[in-house]
Amino acid sequence: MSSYFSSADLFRIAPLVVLSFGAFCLLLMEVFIKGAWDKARTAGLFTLVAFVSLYYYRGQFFEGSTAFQGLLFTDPYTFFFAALILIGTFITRLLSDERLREEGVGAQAEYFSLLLMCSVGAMIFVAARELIVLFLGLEIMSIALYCLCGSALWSTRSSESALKYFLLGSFSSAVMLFGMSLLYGLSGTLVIPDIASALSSMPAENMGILLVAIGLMLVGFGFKIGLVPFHFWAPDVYQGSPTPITAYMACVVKAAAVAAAIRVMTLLFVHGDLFSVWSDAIWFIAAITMTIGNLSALRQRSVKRMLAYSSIAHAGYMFVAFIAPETGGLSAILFYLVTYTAMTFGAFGITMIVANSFPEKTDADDISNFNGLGFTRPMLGVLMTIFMFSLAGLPPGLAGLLGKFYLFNAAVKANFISIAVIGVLNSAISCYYYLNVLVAMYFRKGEVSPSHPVGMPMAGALGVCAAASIFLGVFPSKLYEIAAYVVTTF
Amino acid sequence: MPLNYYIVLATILFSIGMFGVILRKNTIVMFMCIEMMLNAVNLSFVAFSKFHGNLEGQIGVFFIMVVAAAEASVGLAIIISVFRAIVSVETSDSNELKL
Repeated sequence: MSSYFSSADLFRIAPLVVLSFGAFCLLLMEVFIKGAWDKARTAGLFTLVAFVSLYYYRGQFFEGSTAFQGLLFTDPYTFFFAALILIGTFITRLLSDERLREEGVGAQAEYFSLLLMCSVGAMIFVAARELIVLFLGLEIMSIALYCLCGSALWSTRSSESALKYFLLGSFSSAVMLFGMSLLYGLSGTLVIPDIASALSSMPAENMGILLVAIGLMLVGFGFKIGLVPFHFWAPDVYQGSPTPITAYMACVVKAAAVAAAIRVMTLLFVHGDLFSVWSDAIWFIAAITMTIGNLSALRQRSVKRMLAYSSIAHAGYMFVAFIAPETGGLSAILFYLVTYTAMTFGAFGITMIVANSFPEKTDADDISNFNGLGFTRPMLGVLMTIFMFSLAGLPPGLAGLLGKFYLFNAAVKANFISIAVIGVLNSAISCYYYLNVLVAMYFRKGEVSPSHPVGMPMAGALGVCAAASIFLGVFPSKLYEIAAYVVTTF
Repeated sequence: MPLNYYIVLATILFSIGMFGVILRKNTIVMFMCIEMMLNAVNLSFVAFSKFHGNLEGQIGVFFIMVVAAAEASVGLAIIISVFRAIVSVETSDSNELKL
C-alpha cells in the first residue's frame, strides 16, 4: 500500500503546522496558566518560528512541486505569498500589542489564536491545487475572520461588522462553491490543472455553462478582494472591526485572495477562446472598481472608511494589470501587493494611534482628530505623510508611484490603453482625499490630545512600513525580479 | 433519472436561497437561505459525481457539510452578540455603521 504522504510533504507545510500548533497552544495556555502572561509575544514567537521553518525548507519549494498527492502547490509562488502572509501576520501582532484593550478586545488569547488560524487558512487558500482544498482554505480564513471582526465583544459596531461580514462572506462562498460544482460537472475532476486540460477539449455546446461557472467563481473572489459591485460590505466591516484586524483584512486577506484568484483564474480561464471574454470582464470590473472606490472615498469623514474605499480602488488598480498577463502584468500585481501591504499597514497603524488618543469620542477615527497632528506629534505626522504620498503615488512615496507605473505599463504594452488612462485619471482623483489628511495635519488647528507614548513594537512596525514604502521605490529591481520569476512557476 | 433533473432542482434551490438572502431582512432567515444554497451545491456535487462515476464530488460534500456546521456555530454566535446589543435580528436595525 502506498503511503499517502511523505516527510517532504510535511517539510513543505511546516509553517502551517507551526501556526496551527501555536493557535491551539494559545488556547490551552489560557486555560492552564494562572496569572498574567504575554499573549501577543507568544503569538509573535510562533509566527517567527513559522517564518524560520518556511525559510529553512525553502529548498522544497521549486518549480512544479506539489504536496499531498497533488492537493497543494508548493512552488515559489506559494513560497512568496506564504512569506508575505507571515510578515503581515507579524505586523498585525505588532499593531495589536498596545491598545488592544482600548479597541475593546477582552479575550486576547482567543484573538491571537484566531489570528494564527486565519493565516493558516490564507496560506492554504494560496497553495490550493484542488477546488475543495481551495474552498477549505477560504473558509478557515473567513470563519476565523468573522470572529476576529466581532472580537470587540461590547462594541455594537464590532458585532454589527461581524454580522455583515458573516452574511455576505458566507453568501459569496456559497456562490463560489456553485461555480466549483459546475466546473466539476463539466470536467469530472476537482484538480485545477486537470480541469484546465479537460476544458480545452470540451464540446462547444457546454460553453454557456462554463461562462456561468467563470462568473460565479469571479463573484466569489470579487467579494473577498472587494471588487465593485461586490464591495458594499467593505466600508462597514472595515470601520466596525478593531483596527489591527481592519489592517489585516485590507492587506493579508486581500493579498491571499488576489494571489489565489490570479493562480486559479490564470490556470483555468486565461487562454484560448476565453481570453477575449475574460479581458472584457476584467476591463469593466477594473474600471468601475477604481472609479467607484475613489469617488466614494472623496466624501468620507471617517479615516478608516476612507482607507476602506481606497483599498477598493487599489484592488481596481491591480486588476488593470490582470488584463495583461502576457506583458508582465502578473509580476506587476505581485510587486504592487507588497508595496500596498507596507503602506496600508502604516496608514492603519497611525489611524489607530490617533483614534486611541480620543477614547471618549464615538467617532474616534474622524478626520478632525488629525487636526494639527503634524505639530503636536511631528514624528507621526511625517510617517503619515510618507504613507499618504505613497498611497497616492507621489514622491517621496516612491514605492506606490513605481508600483502603479508597473501596473499601467503592463496594460499599455498589451494595447489596453484606455484602461491605463482611466487608471491614471483615478490616481489623480485619489490625491484629493489622501492630501486632505495632510491638510488636516498641517494646516488646521486641533485640540492637543493627551499624548499616549507609542511603544516599541508599534514604532518598529511603522518604521519598517515607512522604510519599505520609500526603499522599494528607490531599489525596486530585486523585488521585481523575484516577482517576475515567481509568476512564471505556476 | 437523467442528470438534468438533479441539476435543474439544484439550480432552483440555489436561486431560492440566493433571492432569500438578497430580499429578506431577518438575519436568521438569511442564514437559513445560505444553508439552502450550500445544500443545493451538495446536491449538484453528488449528481455530477454519479454522472462521472468517480467519488471526488461525494467526498467534497462531506467537507462542505463540515464547513456549513462550523459556519452555523459562528454565525449564530454573531447573531446572538448583535441581538444582545440591539435586541433585534432585523438587518435594518443594524444601522450604526454608515456614512
